[in-house]
Amino acid sequence: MRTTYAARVVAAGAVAALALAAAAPAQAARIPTADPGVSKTEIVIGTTTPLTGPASPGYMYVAPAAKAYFDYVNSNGGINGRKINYVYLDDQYNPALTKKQTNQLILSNKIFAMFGALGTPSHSAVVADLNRRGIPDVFVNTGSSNFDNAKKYPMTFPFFPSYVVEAKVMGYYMANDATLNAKKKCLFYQDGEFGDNAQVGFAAAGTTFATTTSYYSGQQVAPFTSQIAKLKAAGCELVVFFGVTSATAQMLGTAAKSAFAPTWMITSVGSDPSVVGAALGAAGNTLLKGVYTPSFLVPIQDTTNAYVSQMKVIADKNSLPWNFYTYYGLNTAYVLAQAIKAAGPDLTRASLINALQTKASTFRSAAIAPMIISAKSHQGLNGYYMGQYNATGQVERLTSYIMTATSATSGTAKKTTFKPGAPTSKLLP
Amino acid sequence: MKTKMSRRLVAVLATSGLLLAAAPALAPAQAADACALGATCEGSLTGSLGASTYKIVMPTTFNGTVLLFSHGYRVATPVPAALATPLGFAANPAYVKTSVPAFAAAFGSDVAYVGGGGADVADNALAIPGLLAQGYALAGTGYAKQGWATAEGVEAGENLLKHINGGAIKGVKKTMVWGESLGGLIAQTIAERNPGKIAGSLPTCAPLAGPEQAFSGAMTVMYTWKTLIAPTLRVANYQSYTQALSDLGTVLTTLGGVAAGTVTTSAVGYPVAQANLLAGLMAGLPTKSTVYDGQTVNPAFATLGTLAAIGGGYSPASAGANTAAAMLQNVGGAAALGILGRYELEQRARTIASIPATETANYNDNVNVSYTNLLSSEQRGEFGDTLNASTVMPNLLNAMLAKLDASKGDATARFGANAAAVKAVRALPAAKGVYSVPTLLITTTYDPIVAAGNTGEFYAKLAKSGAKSKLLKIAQYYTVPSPDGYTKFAAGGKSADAAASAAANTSGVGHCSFFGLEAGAQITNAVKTLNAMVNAKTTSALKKAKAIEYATAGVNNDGLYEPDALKRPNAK
Repeated sequence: MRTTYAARVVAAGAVAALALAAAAPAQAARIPTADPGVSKTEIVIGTTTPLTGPASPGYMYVAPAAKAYFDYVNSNGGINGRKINYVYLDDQYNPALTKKQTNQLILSNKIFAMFGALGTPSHSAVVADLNRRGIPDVFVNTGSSNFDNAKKYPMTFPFFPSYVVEAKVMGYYMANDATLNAKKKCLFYQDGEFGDNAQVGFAAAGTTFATTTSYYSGQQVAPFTSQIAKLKAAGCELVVFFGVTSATAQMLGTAAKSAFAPTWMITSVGSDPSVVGAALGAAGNTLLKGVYTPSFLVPIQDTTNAYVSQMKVIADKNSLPWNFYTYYGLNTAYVLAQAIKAAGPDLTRASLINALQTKASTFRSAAIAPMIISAKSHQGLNGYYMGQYNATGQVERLTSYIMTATSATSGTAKKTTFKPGAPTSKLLP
Repeated sequence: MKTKMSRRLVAVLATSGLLLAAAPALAPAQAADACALGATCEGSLTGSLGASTYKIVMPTTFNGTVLLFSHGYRVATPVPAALATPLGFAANPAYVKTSVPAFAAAFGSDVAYVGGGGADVADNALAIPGLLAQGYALAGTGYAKQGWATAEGVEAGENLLKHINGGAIKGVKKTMVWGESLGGLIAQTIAERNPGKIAGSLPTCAPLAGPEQAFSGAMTVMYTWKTLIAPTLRVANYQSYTQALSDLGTVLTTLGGVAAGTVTTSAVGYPVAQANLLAGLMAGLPTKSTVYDGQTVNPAFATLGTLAAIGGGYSPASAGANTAAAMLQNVGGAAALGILGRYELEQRARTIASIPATETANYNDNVNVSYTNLLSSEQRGEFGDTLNASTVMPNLLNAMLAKLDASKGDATARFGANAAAVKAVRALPAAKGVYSVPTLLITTTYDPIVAAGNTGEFYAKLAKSGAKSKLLKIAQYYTVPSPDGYTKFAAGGKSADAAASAAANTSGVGHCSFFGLEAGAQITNAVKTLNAMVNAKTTSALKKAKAIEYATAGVNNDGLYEPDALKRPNAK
């Protein structure tokens, strides 16, 4: 890192005298008497998400998909007479920009609630402020267990299971599959909360790894040469990977060039075939074939499923690519719409929180696991099935059962079954 | 880390002979001679702690209100020109040029600068014309001693108050106190102690949480540096001034090496920029500096692509890398006060409590601090984006925290405090946060020397203490930078253009930087606001008064904003 000698510029900063004409509004701030962002005809919902930048592949589809669903609801009369005004802003997965865009949503757009804010580092930068201001922070798009803390963050609600839960599920599955369990297991993870969470889960599950290696966020722009060399040299036969989708593509690509072909098991948030395919070309599906990945949604290719088929219609109408992220964005928007409906005609932030905490088990969705939300726990979905990629880049469900767990630092996953209820009429709330 | 400067410092250790520059001699004040309209009157007043200076600048038309100013921290010991120039002391008229022969060998020159005892009516001259134009009489003090001089500052202010009320200014209807940085703490202390004589108080960017808290951040930074960057640092319990200068030299030399690209990894194997970032985050230092806005990426990354830009040596590569650069600048700027200020306050505690040289005079105990806990989960999340410049070790953040906490509870590896020193520091005059007069607090949001949390927490104390007042006249303001950032790059520039960036950063960043927009309107309007608050008789008048400063360019008008809480390393 090259910087100008820090101390020498201190004085320079003090004499800055260029007048930016960025005058603040000539009005004192007022403490609102009613919840912002909700009127008789409108509800303003906001999101920060990477639409551009190195982490955007895949994730860039989530918010436009939610927008497509809200547009669909609005064209069917809205919710209790209110149309949803959905504002999503690009933060490039950059915490400083997340702060700026979140301030924009709060102070200028006057949002009623945040919805689906994406990214652990980026959302970490604003979560405390959102909670302090009493703004519902619904269905954050990160599996960091830090956000699953109803006491510390009473306004924040995760949607998908935490990475701790996912690691416990992976550990449980490996331990109970004789073939996988016999393999020499290794771990490759992204530095920071993502990887830390995974290691907590594996420790609780009793999974041990012969070797571990990691990458830092952003490093995936270049081949993972040293990491793959380390895994290969250690003789790893099963590599578990916790990283973002663009890193999965880099890992599979680097391994293929190094003639390293272990069995892979990849986190659910890091393995969309369309994104991997975009990076690796025609080889994508070949490289993905046989990769294990847990999933918490009905398989995307199952168009006989009433959720999948109806969501695909909305995606197609809006010219959205039919991939996991589009599907996921539509599904979470669908659940939020039900929560808003359940909050009743006199919508307030408190009534939304109450609806989430008391009625979540009644919300329908394409999730294959129960949604656990109460005043004491904001866990969200609590389990996965294990899937495996086939030759056409589709995840096939391997287990008819699901594996559930909590984000606690101890305790293992448990095997259970869950049958999602049928969708609501026309997929409307 | 061996460098030219550190070798020179070794020489200083052997030949220290430091001079304290005396304040310029001034005639004792004559009572009752009123200062004429449009005139500047200066003199000195004698108190139990020594002679203090004063200055009165009269407007051509007096509005009946005196603004009594207390100036900020001035380093009490001579700082070599080689350090004083980049730190801004050499160009600061409050500092006196002096000679320390021993510095010639160590720093290439005997020239040094030391905080003087001259009086100021404002720490930034830009505020003066605007305040005089509003008709205020401006009065201010210089202190009998420098350093953490709250005792001397309060005595000087109270003596000047008596002098003014004794006839030095005619036609006084009311006096409001104000002060910058340490002077803000002094002003607020004067206000608490003299409620009947003071009509209002305006502390700006002030360390209102007191000295122990003010230096706890420096302990966090220095201990982290000692553990991860420079094991030779003494950190605390300085037995001589040269030991403190040696620490300052080590920090600035290392930062210089990072800036020049000659230092990336420390002698103990950690990447300096990231270790420094961790140190700053745990101490609660801001993630923006006057040059680095913590968000802007070098445009080469968009035009050339990531790999080509990295290969071409362009920086910063990410928001995180920009933040790390900001923290290098912020630690560099804070180092002098953190190290030389600690030295001075330790000496002060030694004198007050008669602590022998054989005992430590440290007042910031870190023996049982959990550094892992000091990094909030929010900061931990943010840190994840800042690691892009390092491939030194896997899982770097956790590795650094584990190294820091490996010594937890070990009194020999860490720095225990002396209870007598703690007691002496806690007994120094300091405002308690008891609501006594209308009070307006203002600070920059991103202040690397005095965290904005000082203002937020003091405001909360005043609000609690004054909760039963019929009309609670308190206000807090935070200046903010442009949300679009201000780090600038020359066309094709490999790194940020420091001068252009600093010029574009007009508000909200830096210590007491209120003068970028509209030539100091953030301060002159704050005075106008406080005056209107003092005069307000109704809730609506009070609200209207507060709106003046909210409407000022660069002032955050989000009434629900709160700064980050102060880091309290020993909190249970």
